[in-house]
Amino acid sequence: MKKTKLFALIASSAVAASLLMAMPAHAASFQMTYLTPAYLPGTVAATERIVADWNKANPTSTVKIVYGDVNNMQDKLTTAFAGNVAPDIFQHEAVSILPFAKQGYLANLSSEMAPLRSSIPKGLWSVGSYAAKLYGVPTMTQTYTIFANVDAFKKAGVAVPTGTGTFSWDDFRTLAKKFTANGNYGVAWGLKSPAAMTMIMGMNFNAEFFRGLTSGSGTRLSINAAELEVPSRIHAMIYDDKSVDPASLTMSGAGPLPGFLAGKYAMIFAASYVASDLDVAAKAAGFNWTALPLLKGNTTVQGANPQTLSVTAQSKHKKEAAAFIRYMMQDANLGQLALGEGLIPSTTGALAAATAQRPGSAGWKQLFDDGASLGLAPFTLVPNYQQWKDTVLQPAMQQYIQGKISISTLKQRELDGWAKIR
Amino acid sequence: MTLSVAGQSVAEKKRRKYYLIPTYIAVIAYVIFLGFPFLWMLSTSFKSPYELLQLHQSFIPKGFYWQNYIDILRKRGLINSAKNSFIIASCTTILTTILAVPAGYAIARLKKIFSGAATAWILVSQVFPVSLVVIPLFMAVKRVGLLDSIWGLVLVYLVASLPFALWMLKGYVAAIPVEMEEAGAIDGASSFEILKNIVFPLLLPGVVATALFTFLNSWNEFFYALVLIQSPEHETLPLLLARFMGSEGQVLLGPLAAGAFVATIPSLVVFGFLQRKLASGILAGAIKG
Amino acid sequence: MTTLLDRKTTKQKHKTKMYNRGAWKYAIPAFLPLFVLSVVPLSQAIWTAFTDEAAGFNVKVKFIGFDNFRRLLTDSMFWASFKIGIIWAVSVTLLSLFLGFGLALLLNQKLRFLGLMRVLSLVPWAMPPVIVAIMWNLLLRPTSGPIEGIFAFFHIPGGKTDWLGEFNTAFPTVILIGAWVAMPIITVSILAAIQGIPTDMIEATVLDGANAWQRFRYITVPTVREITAALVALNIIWQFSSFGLVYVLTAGGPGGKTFVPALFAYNEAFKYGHFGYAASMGVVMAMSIGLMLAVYLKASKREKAQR
Repeated sequence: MKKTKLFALIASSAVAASLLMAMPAHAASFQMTYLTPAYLPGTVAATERIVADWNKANPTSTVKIVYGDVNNMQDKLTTAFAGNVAPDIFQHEAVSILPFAKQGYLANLSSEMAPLRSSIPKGLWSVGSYAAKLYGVPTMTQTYTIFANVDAFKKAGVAVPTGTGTFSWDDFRTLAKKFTANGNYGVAWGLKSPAAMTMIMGMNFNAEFFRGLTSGSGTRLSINAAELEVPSRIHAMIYDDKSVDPASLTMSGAGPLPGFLAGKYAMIFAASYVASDLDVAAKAAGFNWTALPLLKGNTTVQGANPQTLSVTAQSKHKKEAAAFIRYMMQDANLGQLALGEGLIPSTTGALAAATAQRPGSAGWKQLFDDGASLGLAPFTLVPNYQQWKDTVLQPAMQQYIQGKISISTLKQRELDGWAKIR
Repeated sequence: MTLSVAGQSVAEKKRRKYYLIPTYIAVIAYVIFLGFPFLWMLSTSFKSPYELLQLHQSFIPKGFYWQNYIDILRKRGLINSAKNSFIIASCTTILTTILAVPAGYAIARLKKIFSGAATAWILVSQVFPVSLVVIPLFMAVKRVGLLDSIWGLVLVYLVASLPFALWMLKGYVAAIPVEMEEAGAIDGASSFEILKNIVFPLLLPGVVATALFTFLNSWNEFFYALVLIQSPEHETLPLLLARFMGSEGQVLLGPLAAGAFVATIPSLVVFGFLQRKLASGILAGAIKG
Repeated sequence: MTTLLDRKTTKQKHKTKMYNRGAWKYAIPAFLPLFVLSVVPLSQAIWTAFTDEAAGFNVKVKFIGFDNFRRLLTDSMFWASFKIGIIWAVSVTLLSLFLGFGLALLLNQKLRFLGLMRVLSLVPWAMPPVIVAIMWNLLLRPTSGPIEGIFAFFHIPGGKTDWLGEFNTAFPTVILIGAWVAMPIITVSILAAIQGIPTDMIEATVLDGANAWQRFRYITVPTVREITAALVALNIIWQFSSFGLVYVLTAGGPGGKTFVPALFAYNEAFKYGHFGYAASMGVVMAMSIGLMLAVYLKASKREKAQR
């Protein structure tokens, strides 16, 4: 019993102390919290540098960094919103903040961010918006890219494709076949979670999936040749051409990287952020990599799901929080942040700043040039898209990729699944 | 008695020899199964980012890359979060033990209806998925004013570990022959004295096992901490470690392994001391004494 | 020997004789915090199951009776996942019980390096959960992981299998890893119970000429019965209501083979914001597991009584 009393005493004094600390020292000055999932060393360093600079310049409206982890941002934010203890500013991704925007948890940033509008591609801007109001300022984004082992290309006497819009899906297929010989596969493709990738790449062939977007509950799913083009092309490369390493099919997106670095494949299909790991290998062992131009079907357009900065509706300092976001969006700051993540910055100025930081790298130049092809993927705006993707598309696509079901079954599963979700 | 046991041991020895080979084979199999992932983690913690990108990973790192340890110690606030975790886990363990030993005894020795109701509640409270209780719980902790405080976590962990502790202790008490207590009662010992002098010593291995459970679960708990802790100063070890993971399976493997190794050591050291208490020698002494 | 054991068990049956009536007081301090932070939030969560509560800022919550449950009845995806959950919980529990019991018996012997072994037996539990899944993922990496290397070294076929990625192997592999994680608690608890056997009881049976198997059957098993029943029940509950390990290992894939119901309910609540519907899943899960365990505990009591 004695111990419990002591404990209660300690506990209550701790509470009192924390309450005291929470009281503002000066009525006019305050502290805002910034929740960020940054974890890579480069981004952490950049974030800390930017916040320190801001705090020096704005001693009355300082910012405190709170690190969250990427995989649990949703839980953290959901409970923080429900309990009214949300951070003032947070970084998350466009697709995931959409529900929060609809639920009224986010502040409308349209007018505060008006000065940035001209420097951000229209497509990206609209991904961060809902009902014509901006809720998430797009900061940086990834593309799906084919990375090439330049030395393997040289050895085979094959020219490395360059430019924009010059590299078609058919070209990719031919190249993959060319490098498939002597027990080696031309390409490795981490397809453990293929759902999001096939949706985004589908835009190459004008795949729409959902129609009647404006009418809320009336959204229809329709699957035709365009929607099935990307899955069936991948399937053909795996099973007809046998140019994709079957071992890579069950790997995560970055899973084939070690094999790529070991020279097992001439190409990998991956998200652009693996470029930072490729840089590590280039520096340590002279690995010679580049990024090929974005794949072109009818277009090179890919759906974007950029990282976004938002201000919460519960924040008491929305104006200052918006000012902090504008500060983060300054060319040098955003450029440094994006490079740390291996992502493509959203503003033209930051793009230039980042490009200047990687002089002489053909791969990075290609990646930064590709930013222009990013657009709004209409399906990201569909209510219940996430649920359909997780529970229907993902398992069905995994079965299709592993050769368990036919394309017509895939189509049927997708349609039946959508009908079941309210 | 000692003499007869010694006489037994000749035959025993013969049989032991016979048993020894399969026994040690089983031991080795268990050692590999249990220890391999741990040793691989230790080896990973000394690998450089480039080495970790290579296709074939060797068990012995190519060079000892201490930077992983320097990173987690200096830049990521490992010491502070380890301190928080240690305070939280120790306080939870002490409180749980103090509350659960008498209560577990009571449940085991009381009328069936009472004990049945208690058991049923313990069951229900454990089945409901944590993720669905977390928001009401969050609100309750907020009302008590212990949000973003390590004491709030102690309280939550106490509540989370009590059901298990109660149920296990109830089981251990049930295994103690009642006649031992009856003998005490006949000698005129009070109910508390029976608990303290007769039941508790016999219960010690069970208490140790339960305390260990409580310590480890509080030490490694993630979800409640994620939701209830906001400030970096109050962060626990699992929260810190989770931040080495990115999306889509990206991981800062070297520093994560280093951090995880550092996080594993205290539990193993604590158990290294406690496991002696699990040995029968002490128990036999306690009964005689 | 049997006479001695019979005497013991018949005595134990008479334990309902209440000589220690004051014992109930000891339960109060423990149940107070349980009430505040377990009964209250849990009741709220159960109440949520009868409402249409969804994530939102200042949204009105409406009582809708059994609507959520009616919808859940026809939700084939949930029931598919429910079935996976039952298989997962039962297999992990049985496998870890088998492995953990075996280890506890080993640790009860007089062996070399016993202390080290005991500490080692705790490793899966002491390793932070975040890294457990990552380490196993690394170890099981197809084409280049250490386990593949071991297969290749001993020329065992099947080494190139992607254990966690392929349809046939993913679920069994996840269950094995689940049992690895669950083992220590069983080992330590059962070891503690075995160690609780009074030494004179063992000595007495040795005098009576009992062999190792008889000692196991007539002393060890009855002693650990209560603890084992509790461990089995709790393990089934924990496994059924948890998803952290599975989530990091396979994220429910491939093809939904490892999509456990706790992950289903979690997604429903946190990803799609349907708190009411998710809570109804929790209620159904709790009720069905509660029912299952009630039957199990009854049966294990009856078995004990018959003995």
